[in-house]
Amino acid sequence: MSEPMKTLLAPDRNPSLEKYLARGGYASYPELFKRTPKEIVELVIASGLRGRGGAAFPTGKKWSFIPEKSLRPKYVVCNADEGEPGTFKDREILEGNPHLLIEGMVAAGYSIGSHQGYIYIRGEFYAGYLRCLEAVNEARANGYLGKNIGGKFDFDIVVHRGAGAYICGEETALLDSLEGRRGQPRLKPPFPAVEGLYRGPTIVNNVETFTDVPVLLINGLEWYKSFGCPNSFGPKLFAISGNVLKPGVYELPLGTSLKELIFTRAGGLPKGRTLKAVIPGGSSTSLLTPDKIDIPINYDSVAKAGSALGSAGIIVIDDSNCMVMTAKILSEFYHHESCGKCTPCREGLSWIEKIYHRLESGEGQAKDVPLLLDLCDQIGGNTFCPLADGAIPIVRDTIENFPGEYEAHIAGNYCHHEA
Amino acid sequence: MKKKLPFSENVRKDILAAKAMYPLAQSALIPALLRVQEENSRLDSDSMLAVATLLGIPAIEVMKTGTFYTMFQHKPVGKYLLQVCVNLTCSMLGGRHLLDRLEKTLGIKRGETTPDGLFSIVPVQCLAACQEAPVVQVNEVFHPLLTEKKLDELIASLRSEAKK
Repeated sequence: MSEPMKTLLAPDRNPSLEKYLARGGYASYPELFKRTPKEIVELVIASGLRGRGGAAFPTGKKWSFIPEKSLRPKYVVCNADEGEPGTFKDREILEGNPHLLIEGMVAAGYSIGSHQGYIYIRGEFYAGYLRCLEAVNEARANGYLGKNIGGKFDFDIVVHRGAGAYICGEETALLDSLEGRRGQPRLKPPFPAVEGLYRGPTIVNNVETFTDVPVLLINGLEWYKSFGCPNSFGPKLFAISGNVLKPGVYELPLGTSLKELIFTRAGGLPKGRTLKAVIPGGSSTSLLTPDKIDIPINYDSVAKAGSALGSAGIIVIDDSNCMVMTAKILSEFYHHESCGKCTPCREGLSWIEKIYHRLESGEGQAKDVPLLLDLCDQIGGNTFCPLADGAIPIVRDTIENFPGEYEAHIAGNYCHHEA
Repeated sequence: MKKKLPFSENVRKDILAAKAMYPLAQSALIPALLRVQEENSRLDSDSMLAVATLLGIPAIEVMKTGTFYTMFQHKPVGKYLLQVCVNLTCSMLGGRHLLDRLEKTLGIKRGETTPDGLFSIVPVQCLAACQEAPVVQVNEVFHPLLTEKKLDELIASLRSEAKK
């Protein structure tokens, strides 16, 4: 892939509508409106596009769950509540190329027969919020959004700010938040496709997922599937951060080598450091030790290596970091972000955090490590939503792969690292 | 006698405009609270009650939502809210040292406000700006790739901005 397609990071980030049009913006509309809604859903199914937020659910399939006829209005919701630690790819689109997102949401609306979309953007992304608002107004003023788009379809978008809650990235919590309530996950079923926003059939997709659709419409199925490999087609945004010299968002085909991404594109590690671990898909995914990073980054290979592609937020950790501290930092995060709805998450994550504080302050005891593992067993799979499941890999993996660091903390030689 | 609103007429208008954008009035609640906070720097019970009345929703709904999200401030905060990311990538690259540095230079602890009302310090979770770690968000603006030196300069420039 020579030209970045989705972020269109180069040559000009954040184009005006005029410039966006000049480089082929909104060219997907003729392709969209010449097909029936059903054909669009079939095209998205055929593309193999999977949700780019982290769960990797097949997008076309999700859209196909929307009933054709509904008494209540149907809705398209964009999940722009990006906040999985290590993930910052959606921000690049929201601030850098919001018109592409609008194009994608219109395609989604057309395909399911919805006339109203919402971009739920995390409250902290003020710059992205303003940019999206501006783009929505620009698009509406020029006939790319609102009434009678392409002479045949009505669709409008409201840009909605959240107010700080990681849990709102969970789609049903997001819907509750959009309805002005606490962001707490709903019981499923009913799934949002049947009963979502304002109890109407709703699709919720990640920012990046929407942006694949216009690119697919313009370039066609064959082109789209020339990137990646079976089960993992298409271009993808990879966010890489941590101990690398050139952190950033890279747009590459799925299946790019993880090792190459870290050591070539992202510039490798600071001089004199060695690699200790890589978190490949946001903080909720399992660690990969250095012997496991020589893999193509696609859904299957990363899973086979024992982790998950997740949000493709890659955190590179070198030998200057203490792994107990790393686990402590993430444990604080998950505890802080627990919505409090269910007990294993609310109480269990608090307990895990307390144990890490004990370990870090030199008061760790030998029984703490088995206790952490026991807590992981009791929390995992027993909660309402996946938040708590995401808190567990870092605990288990650091204990499994770096037992010596835990032993050293307990023996009193704790944390001489900087983190 | 009609009670005076705890926010300006502009805020009242903006809240009503937000209400008109959604099929359900409560959907405008978070935007309304953000708007009130933008003007008053925090949410007190008078303003939350006024929002409930404007949106025509029960006060308890405003309390529930208003106390759930981390961006809503209930205690008075300084003119500049210094939000230091303490999540993984930022911590790996010195974010927690920035937090310590702020506490030392401003003479307050996290969660506190300087006596002159200029600065408050809060640790925050991932701001999704890890390529620019460590990051400190001041009110709505992200300040990327900070070092202790750059942080000192930032504080100095905020101080001189406040004097103007």
